[in-house]
Amino acid sequence: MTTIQHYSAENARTSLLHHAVRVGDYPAMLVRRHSLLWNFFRRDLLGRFKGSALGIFWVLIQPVFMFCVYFAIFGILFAPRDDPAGGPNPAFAMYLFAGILSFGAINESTSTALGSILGSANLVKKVKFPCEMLPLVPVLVSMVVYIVGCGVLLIAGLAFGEVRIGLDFLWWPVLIVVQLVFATGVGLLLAGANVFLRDIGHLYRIFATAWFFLTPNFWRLDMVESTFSGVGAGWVANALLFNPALPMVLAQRQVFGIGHTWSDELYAGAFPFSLPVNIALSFAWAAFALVLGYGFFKSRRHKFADLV
Amino acid sequence: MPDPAITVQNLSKTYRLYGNPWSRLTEKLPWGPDKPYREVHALRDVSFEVPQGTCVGLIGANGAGKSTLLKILTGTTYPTGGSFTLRGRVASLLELGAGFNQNFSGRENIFMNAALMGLSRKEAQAKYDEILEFSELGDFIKMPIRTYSSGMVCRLGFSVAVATDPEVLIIDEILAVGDMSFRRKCAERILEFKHSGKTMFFCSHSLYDVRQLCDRAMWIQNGELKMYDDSVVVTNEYATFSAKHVKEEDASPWDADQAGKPAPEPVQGEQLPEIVSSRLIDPETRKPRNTFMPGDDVAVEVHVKNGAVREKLHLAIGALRTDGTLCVAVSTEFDDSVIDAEEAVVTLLLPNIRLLSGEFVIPVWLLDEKGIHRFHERPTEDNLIIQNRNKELGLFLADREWSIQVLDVSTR
Repeated sequence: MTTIQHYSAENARTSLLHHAVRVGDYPAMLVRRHSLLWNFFRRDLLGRFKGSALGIFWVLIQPVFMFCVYFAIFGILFAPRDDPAGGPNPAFAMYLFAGILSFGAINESTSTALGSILGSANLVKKVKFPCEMLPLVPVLVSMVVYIVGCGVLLIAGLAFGEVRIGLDFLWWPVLIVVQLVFATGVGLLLAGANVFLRDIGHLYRIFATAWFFLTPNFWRLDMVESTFSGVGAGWVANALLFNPALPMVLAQRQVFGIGHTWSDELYAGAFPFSLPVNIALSFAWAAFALVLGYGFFKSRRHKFADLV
Repeated sequence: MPDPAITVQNLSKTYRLYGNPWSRLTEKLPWGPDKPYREVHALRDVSFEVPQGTCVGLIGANGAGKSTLLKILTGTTYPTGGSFTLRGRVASLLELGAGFNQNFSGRENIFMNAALMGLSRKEAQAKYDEILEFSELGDFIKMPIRTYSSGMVCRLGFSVAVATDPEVLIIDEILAVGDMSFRRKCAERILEFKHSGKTMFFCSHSLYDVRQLCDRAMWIQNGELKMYDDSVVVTNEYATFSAKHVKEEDASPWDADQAGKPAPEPVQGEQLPEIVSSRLIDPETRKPRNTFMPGDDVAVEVHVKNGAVREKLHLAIGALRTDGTLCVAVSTEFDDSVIDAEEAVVTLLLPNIRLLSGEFVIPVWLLDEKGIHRFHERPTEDNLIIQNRNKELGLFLADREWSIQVLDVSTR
């Protein structure tokens, strides 16, 4: 059977909607070209550490070091005093570390995916291949780093008695996939947009910093109520909830049972939604991001080679 | 009659060049600037068909739209108008080693590139030995690509590309890379492709290559299809046209592939066929002589030496006027002769030379058996000088006969 390729400029579909509803083509393509995806993934992962003396061990060293820093600074030095125990607060350090692992994975992968098309300009210009695969590659690598980080969280958390492995832990693989899908969708959107307007890269860096502090990474949701008492408190609290990273960082902590040593009142304030609800919310955001990102990317794809 | 391998209908490509990135955004707004861009028509309404098993050479000046056409057929860039259809597995070589990563070994890059071209890991593994052998990289395959010479990178790139066994091959000017012996291997591989009935579409600045390799040639000028016909017909037309619109940088299109490109690296340890000496002589005395008159007999004596791998050789000799016009070029290949010896002195006798006054560079090329690969080029020691003692002007001496018929005007 001969393969036939046909392209007609007049019949080419360039509407976002047309491609958005065909988002199912994306996983199908990934399965079909899994060999290429594996090569890209391997190259990116190994490429990050190629030439360094410790090599791939940096994937492990980084989160261990990060944990030590968070523990020393926010678990001991600046531990929140409002907690019942007072003094050193390993629970808060764990809370922090778990959330930042999750948010860091999303932040790092989307920031790297943002430059994935421009960074492979030569490839996009000279070789025919499904370039919508490119933003996924750094996302996959970040997820590997995230999973190793979670291993550190698990060991340290069990050692301090702050992590509890229960039935909730079974949600973890789902959470990983949901985060991956979300980051890929955002990555596709950013990578595509960055081709047209290179300011997006700089803009996103500023945005990501704000996003980091607006997500309950360094604070708990119950702190919002106590800070904004009075007029508008409800409004601020509700606005903060409208954040795709929020259900993900909360679910991440719930999966590992962070906060099981807290009082019920404190726990309920910090985790207003149950784990399944957080997962469902995360899934909704992820699906939305992927459909939008993929639709945008594919609908603009025909212009990439001329602009990169 | 099978369907054509490539069908192109009314293909157009217009680039919009924006003054600044802002206008690309603000253009969409209702109060934004009206057409804040300049349109560049890289291709205009191009239509053609390439039957299966045909080799088509694409020629045209720089910026004529050749690369745009190749990129569209490759599928990296998209047309703004018209359509195209490709039948069969397509492999495209716009740039050798485009997907290579400098920090990874040749081996890792082979698998990466094979995956890019759509081969599965299993297929790539099956082809690995063939690729390695063709690339002649040996133990270097385990070294990072950044330690490679540019020639080695090209070798690896070409080796992977041809291993995919395509039905349609699209190539952009790649015969001009790598060292001498590898260039030749590439040319041979391409000939193999051609003989196995595959379709090829390639772009070259060398009219000689186009004429030797291609059945048909396509001439693109200012984004329009100027001519698409038998390769000999098109290259002739194009050469005539170029001569009329001479630019300093490419005075002679026949030589364009040599101009401006670095001389290919000689291969160490491998002795290639070479021209030991070439000179103009007097055919009777066989003594060096470079000044003649129109109508004299002129001879060129060339001493050639075969390489370590003894092979059949062809010799081509031309005359280039100092302004770059190729006045004549002949070859043993055109005249069904061949050099089959360890070492030989070849004499070309040009009886009754028809050239008129002027100074001519006499380039001599040593070619392989198929007349494609040039081993060596060595002009004669002295330029040919023709001095006309008579009054004829121009390039060549024309045989002539005048007749004057006197008209009777008395009856009017």
